[in-house]
Amino acid sequence: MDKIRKFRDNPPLITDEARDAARAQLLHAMREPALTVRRQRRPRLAWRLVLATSLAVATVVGFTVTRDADQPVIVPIANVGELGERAARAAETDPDAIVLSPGKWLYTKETIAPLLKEPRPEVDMEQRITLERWNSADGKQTALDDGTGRLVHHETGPGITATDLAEAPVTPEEMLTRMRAALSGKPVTPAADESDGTMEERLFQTIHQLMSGQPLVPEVRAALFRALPMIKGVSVKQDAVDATGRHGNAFVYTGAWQRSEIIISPEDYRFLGTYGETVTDRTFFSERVGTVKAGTPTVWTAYLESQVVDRPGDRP
Amino acid sequence: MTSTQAEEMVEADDAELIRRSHDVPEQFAGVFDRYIDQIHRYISRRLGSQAADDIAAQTFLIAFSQRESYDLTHRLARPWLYGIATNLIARHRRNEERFLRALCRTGVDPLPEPMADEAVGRVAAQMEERRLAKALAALSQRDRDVLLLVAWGDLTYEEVAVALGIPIGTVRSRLHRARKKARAAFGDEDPTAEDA
Repeated sequence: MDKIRKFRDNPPLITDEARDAARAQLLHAMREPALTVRRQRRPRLAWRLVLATSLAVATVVGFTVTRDADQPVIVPIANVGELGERAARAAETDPDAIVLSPGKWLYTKETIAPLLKEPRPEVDMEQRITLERWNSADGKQTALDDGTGRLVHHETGPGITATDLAEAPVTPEEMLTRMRAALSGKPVTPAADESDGTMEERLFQTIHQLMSGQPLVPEVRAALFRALPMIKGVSVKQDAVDATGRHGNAFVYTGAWQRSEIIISPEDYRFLGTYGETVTDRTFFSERVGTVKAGTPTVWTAYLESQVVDRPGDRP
Repeated sequence: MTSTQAEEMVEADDAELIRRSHDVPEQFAGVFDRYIDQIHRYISRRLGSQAADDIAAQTFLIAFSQRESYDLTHRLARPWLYGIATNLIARHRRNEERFLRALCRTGVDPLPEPMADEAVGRVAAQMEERRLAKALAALSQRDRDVLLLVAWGDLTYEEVAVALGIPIGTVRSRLHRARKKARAAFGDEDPTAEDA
Protein backbone atom coordinates (compact mmCIF):
# COMPACT_ATOMS: atom_id res chain seq x y z
CA MET A 1 0.00 0.00 0.00
CA ASP A 2 2.95 2.29 0.53
CA LYS A 3 3.63 2.74 -3.17
CA ILE A 4 0.09 3.95 -3.66
CA ARG A 5 0.30 6.08 -0.52
CA LYS A 6 3.34 7.85 -1.93
CA PHE A 7 1.76 8.36 -5.32
CA ARG A 8 0.76 12.01 -5.73
CA ASP A 9 1.68 12.50 -2.13
CA ASN A 10 2.38 16.17 -2.44
CA PRO A 11 -0.59 17.95 -3.97
CA PRO A 12 -0.78 21.73 -3.69
CA LEU A 13 -2.26 22.82 -0.38
CA ILE A 14 -5.59 24.53 -0.41
CA THR A 15 -5.02 28.24 -0.87
CA ASP A 16 -6.19 30.76 1.66
CA GLU A 17 -8.38 32.23 -1.04
CA ALA A 18 -10.09 28.90 -1.75
CA ARG A 19 -10.53 28.13 1.94
CA ASP A 20 -12.00 31.56 2.59
CA ALA A 21 -14.35 31.22 -0.38
CA ALA A 22 -15.55 27.80 0.78
CA ARG A 23 -16.00 29.04 4.34
CA ALA A 24 -17.88 32.09 3.11
CA GLN A 25 -20.24 29.86 1.12
CA LEU A 26 -20.84 27.73 4.17
CA LEU A 27 -21.46 30.71 6.44
CA HIS A 28 -23.82 32.11 3.85
CA ALA A 29 -25.76 28.85 3.87
CA MET A 30 -25.89 29.01 7.66
CA ARG A 31 -27.39 32.47 7.57
CA GLU A 32 -30.10 31.50 5.13
CA PRO A 33 -32.71 29.82 7.30
CA ALA A 34 -35.32 30.99 4.81
CA LEU A 35 -33.90 28.58 2.29
CA THR A 36 -36.34 25.94 3.33
CA VAL A 37 -39.35 28.21 3.29
CA ARG A 38 -38.85 30.47 0.31
CA ARG A 39 -41.66 31.28 -1.97
CA GLN A 40 -41.92 29.46 -5.22
CA ARG A 41 -39.73 30.91 -7.91
CA ARG A 42 -41.51 31.79 -11.10
CA PRO A 43 -39.77 30.41 -14.15
CA ARG A 44 -38.57 33.13 -16.46
CA LEU A 45 -40.69 34.05 -19.43
CA ALA A 46 -38.22 32.53 -21.83
CA TRP A 47 -38.34 29.20 -20.07
CA ARG A 48 -42.12 29.22 -19.87
CA LEU A 49 -42.31 29.96 -23.57
CA VAL A 50 -39.81 27.26 -24.24
CA LEU A 51 -41.95 24.78 -22.42
CA ALA A 52 -45.01 25.95 -24.33
CA THR A 53 -43.08 25.71 -27.56
CA SER A 54 -41.92 22.24 -26.81
CA LEU A 55 -45.45 21.08 -26.10
CA ALA A 56 -47.00 22.89 -29.04
CA VAL A 57 -44.77 21.79 -31.85
CA ALA A 58 -43.21 18.72 -30.36
CA THR A 59 -39.69 19.80 -31.10
CA VAL A 60 -38.41 17.94 -28.09
CA VAL A 61 -35.92 15.32 -29.09
CA GLY A 62 -34.18 12.63 -27.15
CA PHE A 63 -30.60 13.51 -26.52
CA THR A 64 -27.63 11.72 -25.11
CA VAL A 65 -24.37 13.50 -24.51
CA THR A 66 -21.40 11.50 -25.60
CA ARG A 67 -17.80 12.46 -25.94
CA ASP A 68 -16.73 12.53 -29.55
CA ALA A 69 -13.29 11.40 -30.50
CA ASP A 70 -12.64 14.74 -32.19
CA GLN A 71 -13.41 16.76 -29.10
CA PRO A 72 -10.65 19.32 -28.50
CA VAL A 73 -8.17 18.52 -25.79
CA ILE A 74 -8.85 20.65 -22.77
CA VAL A 75 -5.68 22.35 -21.63
CA PRO A 76 -5.60 22.73 -17.86
CA ILE A 77 -6.08 26.31 -16.81
CA ALA A 78 -3.88 27.58 -13.98
CA ASN A 79 -6.57 29.56 -12.22
CA VAL A 80 -9.69 31.54 -12.83
CA GLY A 81 -7.63 34.65 -13.56
CA GLU A 82 -5.88 32.88 -16.40
CA LEU A 83 -9.16 31.70 -17.85
CA GLY A 84 -10.51 35.25 -17.68
CA GLU A 85 -7.44 36.66 -19.37
CA ARG A 86 -7.38 34.06 -22.15
CA ALA A 87 -11.06 34.54 -22.85
CA ALA A 88 -10.70 38.32 -22.80
CA ARG A 89 -7.82 38.29 -25.28
CA ALA A 90 -9.77 36.00 -27.57
CA ALA A 91 -12.79 38.31 -27.38
CA GLU A 92 -10.67 41.36 -28.19
CA THR A 93 -9.20 39.75 -31.28
CA ASP A 94 -12.22 37.76 -32.44
CA PRO A 95 -12.42 38.30 -36.23
CA ASP A 96 -16.05 37.22 -36.22
CA ALA A 97 -17.17 39.53 -33.44
CA ILE A 98 -20.61 41.00 -34.08
CA VAL A 99 -21.19 44.70 -33.68
CA LEU A 100 -24.79 45.79 -34.06
CA SER A 101 -25.83 49.03 -35.71
CA PRO A 102 -28.72 50.94 -34.13
CA GLY A 103 -32.02 49.52 -35.22
CA LYS A 104 -30.62 46.08 -35.98
CA TRP A 105 -31.39 42.94 -34.03
CA LEU A 106 -29.21 40.12 -32.78
CA TYR A 107 -30.57 36.69 -33.67
CA THR A 108 -29.38 33.93 -31.32
CA LYS A 109 -30.01 30.24 -31.44
CA GLU A 110 -29.51 27.93 -28.49
CA THR A 111 -30.13 24.33 -27.61
CA ILE A 112 -31.44 23.90 -24.12
CA ALA A 113 -32.66 21.18 -21.82
CA PRO A 114 -36.35 21.98 -21.21
CA LEU A 115 -38.09 22.05 -17.88
CA LEU A 116 -39.11 18.58 -16.82
CA LYS A 117 -42.38 19.59 -15.28
CA GLU A 118 -43.39 23.15 -14.67
CA PRO A 119 -43.34 24.76 -12.13
CA ARG A 120 -40.48 22.65 -10.78
CA PRO A 121 -37.11 24.13 -11.71
CA GLU A 122 -35.58 20.81 -12.78
CA VAL A 123 -34.59 20.45 -16.41
CA ASP A 124 -34.80 17.24 -18.39
CA MET A 125 -31.24 16.18 -19.14
CA GLU A 126 -32.42 13.66 -21.74
CA GLN A 127 -34.29 16.15 -23.93
CA ARG A 128 -33.28 19.12 -26.04
CA ILE A 129 -35.19 21.88 -27.73
CA THR A 130 -34.08 24.81 -29.83
CA LEU A 131 -34.61 28.32 -28.57
CA GLU A 132 -34.43 31.26 -30.99
CA ARG A 133 -34.33 34.81 -29.71
CA TRP A 134 -34.04 38.27 -31.20
CA ASN A 135 -32.41 40.93 -29.05
CA SER A 136 -32.57 44.62 -29.89
CA ALA A 137 -29.34 46.52 -30.43
CA ASP A 138 -29.90 48.58 -27.30
CA GLY A 139 -30.32 45.38 -25.33
CA LYS A 140 -33.71 46.40 -23.96
CA GLN A 141 -36.05 44.15 -25.93
CA THR A 142 -36.19 40.44 -26.62
CA ALA A 143 -38.55 38.64 -28.98
CA LEU A 144 -39.33 34.94 -28.77
CA ASP A 145 -41.35 32.62 -30.92
CA ASP A 146 -44.16 31.32 -28.72
CA GLY A 147 -44.27 28.05 -30.62
CA THR A 148 -47.07 29.04 -32.97
CA GLY A 149 -45.02 31.39 -35.11
CA ARG A 150 -46.17 34.42 -33.16
CA LEU A 151 -43.45 36.59 -31.67
CA VAL A 152 -43.73 37.67 -28.10
CA HIS A 153 -41.79 40.77 -27.11
CA HIS A 154 -40.73 41.51 -23.62
CA GLU A 155 -38.30 43.73 -21.82
CA THR A 156 -35.12 41.92 -21.17
CA GLY A 157 -31.80 42.19 -19.51
CA PRO A 158 -30.64 41.89 -15.97
CA GLY A 159 -31.22 45.59 -15.29
CA ILE A 160 -28.26 46.74 -17.32
CA THR A 161 -27.78 46.59 -21.06
CA ALA A 162 -24.97 46.18 -23.53
CA THR A 163 -25.30 49.88 -24.32
CA ASP A 164 -24.91 50.86 -20.68
CA LEU A 165 -21.75 48.82 -20.44
CA ALA A 166 -20.25 50.08 -23.70
CA GLU A 167 -19.92 53.66 -22.48
CA ALA A 168 -16.30 54.61 -21.79
CA PRO A 169 -14.39 53.77 -19.76
CA VAL A 170 -14.75 50.04 -20.41
CA THR A 171 -12.70 48.33 -17.71
CA PRO A 172 -13.42 45.24 -15.60
CA GLU A 173 -13.67 47.38 -12.48
CA GLU A 174 -16.08 49.73 -14.20
CA MET A 175 -18.23 46.83 -15.43
CA LEU A 176 -18.56 45.55 -11.88
CA THR A 177 -19.29 49.02 -10.52
CA ARG A 178 -22.09 49.57 -13.04
CA MET A 179 -23.59 46.15 -12.49
CA ARG A 180 -23.48 46.61 -8.72
CA ALA A 181 -25.23 49.95 -9.06
CA ALA A 182 -27.91 48.40 -11.27
CA LEU A 183 -28.41 45.46 -8.94
CA SER A 184 -28.48 47.59 -5.81
CA GLY A 185 -31.59 49.28 -7.03
CA LYS A 186 -33.19 46.04 -8.06
CA PRO A 187 -34.81 44.10 -5.23
CA VAL A 188 -34.50 40.33 -5.25
CA THR A 189 -38.06 39.55 -6.14
CA PRO A 190 -39.28 36.01 -6.71
CA ALA A 191 -39.28 36.67 -10.44
CA ALA A 192 -35.74 37.97 -10.42
CA ASP A 193 -34.66 35.46 -7.86
CA GLU A 194 -31.96 33.85 -9.93
CA SER A 195 -29.32 34.15 -7.33
CA ASP A 196 -31.13 34.08 -4.04
CA GLY A 197 -28.51 36.05 -2.37
CA THR A 198 -25.15 37.63 -2.31
CA MET A 199 -24.10 40.45 -4.53
CA GLU A 200 -21.30 38.23 -5.82
CA GLU A 201 -23.77 35.61 -6.98
CA ARG A 202 -26.00 38.22 -8.56
CA LEU A 203 -23.03 39.70 -10.40
CA PHE A 204 -22.10 36.27 -11.72
CA GLN A 205 -25.66 35.62 -12.86
CA THR A 206 -25.81 39.03 -14.50
CA ILE A 207 -22.72 38.28 -16.58
CA HIS A 208 -24.23 34.87 -17.31
CA GLN A 209 -27.32 36.58 -18.77
CA LEU A 210 -25.34 39.25 -20.61
CA MET A 211 -23.15 36.65 -22.30
CA SER A 212 -26.06 34.55 -23.48
CA GLY A 213 -28.35 37.26 -24.79
CA GLN A 214 -26.96 40.74 -25.09
CA PRO A 215 -25.22 42.13 -28.20
CA LEU A 216 -21.89 42.80 -26.48
CA VAL A 217 -19.14 44.65 -28.32
CA PRO A 218 -15.70 42.98 -28.07
CA GLU A 219 -14.37 45.46 -25.50
CA VAL A 220 -17.28 44.84 -23.17
CA ARG A 221 -17.14 41.08 -23.61
CA ALA A 222 -13.41 41.16 -22.82
CA ALA A 223 -13.95 43.37 -19.78
CA LEU A 224 -16.65 41.02 -18.49
CA PHE A 225 -14.33 38.03 -18.86
CA ARG A 226 -11.70 39.91 -16.86
CA ALA A 227 -14.32 40.92 -14.30
CA LEU A 228 -15.40 37.35 -13.57
CA PRO A 229 -12.22 36.41 -11.66
CA MET A 230 -12.59 39.59 -9.63
CA ILE A 231 -15.86 38.37 -8.17
CA LYS A 232 -15.12 36.71 -4.84
CA GLY A 233 -15.94 33.02 -4.92
CA VAL A 234 -15.63 32.49 -8.66
CA SER A 235 -13.43 29.51 -9.51
CA VAL A 236 -12.51 27.54 -12.59
CA LYS A 237 -13.71 24.10 -13.63
CA GLN A 238 -11.40 22.21 -15.91
CA ASP A 239 -13.93 20.14 -17.81
CA ALA A 240 -17.50 21.31 -18.17
CA VAL A 241 -19.99 20.11 -20.76
CA ASP A 242 -22.62 22.16 -22.55
CA ALA A 243 -26.02 20.93 -23.71
CA THR A 244 -24.68 19.65 -27.02
CA GLY A 245 -21.89 17.69 -25.39
CA ARG A 246 -19.11 20.16 -26.18
CA HIS A 247 -16.44 20.18 -23.51
CA GLY A 248 -14.82 23.32 -22.21
CA ASN A 249 -13.47 25.20 -19.23
CA ALA A 250 -15.94 26.97 -17.02
CA PHE A 251 -16.20 29.86 -14.63
CA VAL A 252 -18.04 28.54 -11.60
CA TYR A 253 -19.91 30.17 -8.76
CA THR A 254 -21.38 28.09 -5.98
CA GLY A 255 -24.05 29.87 -4.03
CA ALA A 256 -26.11 28.82 -1.07
CA TRP A 257 -28.55 26.93 -3.21
CA GLN A 258 -27.08 26.38 -6.60
CA ARG A 259 -23.89 26.18 -8.55
CA SER A 260 -23.64 27.92 -11.91
CA GLU A 261 -21.19 27.46 -14.73
CA ILE A 262 -20.32 29.72 -17.66
CA ILE A 263 -18.70 27.34 -20.14
CA ILE A 264 -15.94 28.51 -22.47
CA SER A 265 -14.46 26.81 -25.51
CA PRO A 266 -10.99 25.39 -24.83
CA GLU A 267 -10.00 26.22 -28.42
CA ASP A 268 -10.99 29.82 -28.97
CA TYR A 269 -12.42 30.74 -25.54
CA ARG A 270 -15.78 31.70 -26.94
CA PHE A 271 -18.89 31.37 -24.82
CA LEU A 272 -20.32 27.86 -25.27
CA GLY A 273 -23.20 27.67 -22.84
CA THR A 274 -24.27 27.31 -19.26
CA TYR A 275 -25.01 24.70 -16.67
CA GLY A 276 -26.53 24.98 -13.22
CA GLU A 277 -27.48 22.58 -10.48
CA THR A 278 -28.64 22.81 -6.90
CA VAL A 279 -26.20 22.13 -4.09
CA THR A 280 -28.59 21.86 -1.17
CA ASP A 281 -32.07 20.54 -0.62
CA ARG A 282 -34.74 23.20 -0.69
CA THR A 283 -38.42 23.05 0.12
CA PHE A 284 -40.78 25.49 -1.52
CA PHE A 285 -44.08 26.73 -0.19
CA SER A 286 -45.91 25.49 -3.22
CA GLU A 287 -46.82 21.81 -2.96
CA ARG A 288 -46.56 21.63 -6.74
CA VAL A 289 -42.88 22.35 -6.40
CA GLY A 290 -42.24 20.63 -3.10
CA THR A 291 -38.67 19.75 -2.23
CA VAL A 292 -35.92 20.13 -4.76
CA LYS A 293 -33.00 17.90 -3.89
CA ALA A 294 -29.33 18.81 -4.02
CA GLY A 295 -27.81 17.85 -7.34
CA THR A 296 -30.89 18.76 -9.37
CA PRO A 297 -29.96 20.29 -12.75
CA THR A 298 -31.73 23.61 -13.25
CA VAL A 299 -30.28 24.94 -16.46
CA TRP A 300 -28.29 23.44 -19.34
CA THR A 301 -27.76 25.36 -22.53
CA ALA A 302 -25.54 25.48 -25.57
CA TYR A 303 -25.06 28.65 -27.60
CA LEU A 304 -25.18 27.71 -31.29
CA GLU A 305 -25.36 30.75 -33.49
CA SER A 306 -25.71 34.51 -33.52
CA GLN A 307 -26.20 36.81 -36.51
CA VAL A 308 -27.29 40.35 -37.27
CA VAL A 309 -30.79 40.64 -38.74
CA ASP A 310 -33.01 43.56 -39.65
CA ARG A 311 -36.01 42.76 -37.56
CA PRO A 312 -37.27 40.21 -35.05
CA GLY A 313 -38.49 37.08 -36.76
CA ASP A 314 -35.80 37.25 -39.47
CA ARG A 315 -33.48 34.31 -39.66
CA PRO A 316 -29.98 34.29 -41.17
CA MET B 1 -18.42 26.67 37.23
CA THR B 2 -21.59 26.00 35.28
CA SER B 3 -21.95 22.96 33.08
CA THR B 4 -21.93 25.20 30.01
CA GLN B 5 -18.60 26.70 30.98
CA ALA B 6 -17.20 23.25 31.62
CA GLU B 7 -18.50 22.08 28.27
CA GLU B 8 -16.79 24.94 26.48
CA MET B 9 -13.48 24.19 28.13
CA VAL B 10 -13.36 20.73 26.65
CA GLU B 11 -13.06 20.64 22.90
CA ALA B 12 -16.25 19.18 21.53
CA ASP B 13 -16.04 16.15 19.27
CA ASP B 14 -17.52 16.30 15.80
CA ALA B 15 -20.83 14.74 16.77
CA GLU B 16 -21.26 17.29 19.51
CA LEU B 17 -20.53 20.16 17.14
CA ILE B 18 -23.05 18.79 14.68
CA ARG B 19 -25.62 18.35 17.44
CA ARG B 20 -25.10 21.93 18.56
CA SER B 21 -25.36 23.12 14.96
CA HIS B 22 -28.98 21.95 14.87
CA ASP B 23 -29.80 25.00 17.00
CA VAL B 24 -26.78 27.16 16.30
CA PRO B 25 -25.79 26.61 12.65
CA GLU B 26 -22.51 28.48 13.07
CA GLN B 27 -21.21 25.63 15.22
CA PHE B 28 -20.82 23.66 12.00
CA ALA B 29 -17.95 25.95 11.05
CA GLY B 30 -15.91 23.99 13.59
CA VAL B 31 -16.33 20.85 11.49
CA PHE B 32 -15.28 22.79 8.41
CA ASP B 33 -12.16 24.13 10.13
CA ARG B 34 -11.13 20.67 11.28
CA TYR B 35 -11.46 18.88 7.97
CA ILE B 36 -11.32 21.27 5.04
CA ASP B 37 -7.58 20.82 4.53
CA GLN B 38 -7.60 17.03 4.45
CA ILE B 39 -10.77 16.75 2.40
CA HIS B 40 -9.36 19.22 -0.11
CA ARG B 41 -6.06 17.33 -0.19
CA TYR B 42 -7.81 14.03 -0.87
CA ILE B 43 -9.88 15.49 -3.72
CA SER B 44 -6.83 17.28 -5.07
CA ARG B 45 -4.91 14.01 -5.33
CA ARG B 46 -7.75 12.54 -7.35
CA LEU B 47 -8.88 15.44 -9.52
CA GLY B 48 -6.47 18.34 -9.12
CA SER B 49 -6.47 21.36 -6.88
CA GLN B 50 -8.81 23.51 -8.93
CA ALA B 51 -11.52 20.89 -9.00
CA ALA B 52 -10.81 20.33 -5.33
CA ASP B 53 -11.62 23.95 -4.54
CA ASP B 54 -15.09 23.50 -5.92
CA ILE B 55 -15.79 19.98 -4.71
CA ALA B 56 -14.46 20.54 -1.20
CA ALA B 57 -16.72 23.56 -0.84
CA GLN B 58 -19.67 21.51 -2.09
CA THR B 59 -18.83 18.72 0.32
CA PHE B 60 -19.30 20.97 3.32
CA LEU B 61 -22.41 22.64 1.91
CA ILE B 62 -24.01 19.24 1.43
CA ALA B 63 -22.83 18.07 4.84
CA PHE B 64 -24.33 21.15 6.42
CA SER B 65 -27.64 20.64 4.64
CA GLN B 66 -27.74 17.00 5.74
CA ARG B 67 -26.52 17.49 9.32
CA GLU B 68 -29.95 16.68 10.77
CA SER B 69 -29.62 13.14 9.48
CA TYR B 70 -26.08 12.64 10.80
CA ASP B 71 -25.78 9.65 13.13
CA LEU B 72 -24.58 11.28 16.33
CA THR B 73 -23.25 7.98 17.66
CA HIS B 74 -20.34 8.44 15.23
CA ARG B 75 -18.10 10.77 17.17
CA LEU B 76 -15.87 11.56 14.19
CA ALA B 77 -17.37 13.14 11.08
CA ARG B 78 -14.38 12.25 8.94
CA PRO B 79 -15.85 9.13 7.28
CA TRP B 80 -19.11 10.94 6.61
CA LEU B 81 -17.31 13.83 4.93
CA TYR B 82 -15.11 11.52 2.88
CA GLY B 83 -18.26 9.71 1.79
CA ILE B 84 -19.87 12.91 0.55
CA ALA B 85 -16.66 13.92 -1.21
CA THR B 86 -16.42 10.49 -2.81
CA ASN B 87 -19.95 10.78 -4.18
CA LEU B 88 -19.07 14.14 -5.69
CA ILE B 89 -15.81 12.79 -7.12
CA ALA B 90 -17.79 10.04 -8.82
CA ARG B 91 -19.43 12.66 -11.02
CA HIS B 92 -15.97 13.41 -12.37
CA ARG B 93 -14.99 9.80 -13.01
CA ARG B 94 -14.17 10.44 -16.64
CA ASN B 95 -11.83 13.28 -15.76
CA GLU B 96 -10.06 11.22 -13.16
CA GLU B 97 -9.52 8.34 -15.53
CA ARG B 98 -8.49 10.68 -18.31
CA PHE B 99 -5.85 12.29 -16.08
CA LEU B 100 -4.54 8.89 -15.01
CA ARG B 101 -4.35 7.63 -18.57
CA ALA B 102 -2.61 10.82 -19.64
CA LEU B 103 0.02 10.27 -16.98
CA CYS B 104 0.41 6.64 -18.01
CA ARG B 105 0.70 7.50 -21.70
CA THR B 106 2.83 10.65 -21.60
CA GLY B 107 4.67 10.47 -18.30
CA VAL B 108 3.42 13.95 -17.52
CA ASP B 109 1.06 14.15 -14.58
CA PRO B 110 -1.64 16.78 -15.05
CA LEU B 111 -1.87 16.56 -11.27
CA PRO B 112 -0.95 17.57 -8.64
CA GLU B 113 0.28 20.68 -10.40
CA PRO B 114 -2.34 21.01 -13.08
CA MET B 115 -2.25 24.75 -12.93
CA ALA B 116 1.43 25.28 -13.44
CA ASP B 117 2.58 26.89 -16.63
CA GLU B 118 3.07 24.29 -19.29
CA ALA B 119 6.80 24.88 -19.39
CA VAL B 120 7.27 25.06 -15.66
CA GLY B 121 6.70 22.73 -12.78
CA ARG B 122 5.99 19.59 -14.70
CA VAL B 123 8.23 16.71 -14.04
CA ALA B 124 8.19 13.54 -16.04
CA ALA B 125 6.73 10.84 -13.89
CA GLN B 126 8.80 7.88 -13.00
CA MET B 127 7.97 4.61 -14.69
CA GLU B 128 6.49 3.34 -11.47
CA GLU B 129 4.07 6.25 -11.30
CA ARG B 130 2.99 5.57 -14.86
CA ARG B 131 2.28 1.98 -13.98
CA LEU B 132 0.41 3.03 -10.88
CA ALA B 133 -1.67 5.44 -12.92
CA LYS B 134 -2.48 2.70 -15.39
CA ALA B 135 -3.46 0.33 -12.61
CA LEU B 136 -5.70 2.89 -10.93
CA ALA B 137 -7.32 3.88 -14.20
CA ALA B 138 -8.15 0.26 -14.88
CA LEU B 139 -10.05 -0.18 -11.63
CA SER B 140 -13.77 0.25 -11.44
CA GLN B 141 -14.91 3.45 -9.76
CA ARG B 142 -16.16 1.56 -6.72
CA ASP B 143 -12.98 -0.43 -6.24
CA ARG B 144 -10.85 2.68 -6.73
CA ASP B 145 -12.90 4.56 -4.15
CA VAL B 146 -12.28 1.91 -1.53
CA LEU B 147 -8.58 1.59 -2.31
CA LEU B 148 -7.95 5.32 -2.24
CA LEU B 149 -10.04 5.98 0.84
CA VAL B 150 -7.76 3.51 2.61
CA ALA B 151 -4.49 4.57 0.98
CA TRP B 152 -4.99 8.32 0.64
CA GLY B 153 -7.77 9.04 3.11
CA ASP B 154 -6.23 6.84 5.84
CA LEU B 155 -9.65 5.49 6.67
CA THR B 156 -10.00 2.15 8.42
CA TYR B 157 -12.10 -0.54 6.80
CA GLU B 158 -14.88 0.26 9.27
CA GLU B 159 -14.68 3.95 8.38
CA VAL B 160 -14.79 3.19 4.66
CA ALA B 161 -17.92 1.16 5.27
CA VAL B 162 -19.50 4.13 7.03
CA ALA B 163 -18.30 6.55 4.37
CA LEU B 164 -19.76 4.57 1.49
CA GLY B 165 -22.73 3.10 3.34
CA ILE B 166 -21.73 -0.46 2.51
CA PRO B 167 -21.09 -3.54 4.68
CA ILE B 168 -17.54 -4.04 5.85
CA GLY B 169 -17.46 -7.34 3.99
CA THR B 170 -18.03 -5.43 0.78
CA VAL B 171 -15.17 -3.11 1.67
CA ARG B 172 -12.89 -6.11 2.09
CA SER B 173 -13.98 -7.73 -1.15
CA ARG B 174 -13.58 -4.52 -3.17
CA LEU B 175 -10.17 -3.91 -1.66
CA HIS B 176 -9.15 -7.47 -2.39
CA ARG B 177 -10.24 -7.09 -5.99
CA ALA B 178 -8.44 -3.74 -6.34
CA ARG B 179 -5.22 -5.20 -4.95
CA LYS B 180 -5.45 -8.21 -7.19
CA LYS B 181 -5.78 -6.03 -10.28
CA ALA B 182 -2.97 -3.77 -9.13
CA ARG B 183 -0.70 -6.77 -8.60
CA ALA B 184 -1.55 -8.01 -12.07
CA ALA B 185 -0.63 -4.64 -13.54
CA PHE B 186 2.70 -4.70 -11.71
CA GLY B 187 3.67 -8.24 -12.59
CA ASP B 188 5.24 -9.87 -9.58
CA GLU B 189 5.27 -6.73 -7.47
CA ASP B 190 2.44 -5.72 -5.21
CA PRO B 191 2.06 -1.94 -5.12
CA THR B 192 -0.54 -2.32 -2.41
CA ALA B 193 1.76 -4.23 -0.09
CA GLU B 194 2.96 -2.55 3.10
CA ASP B 195 6.70 -1.88 3.30
CA ALA B 196 8.48 -3.92 5.91
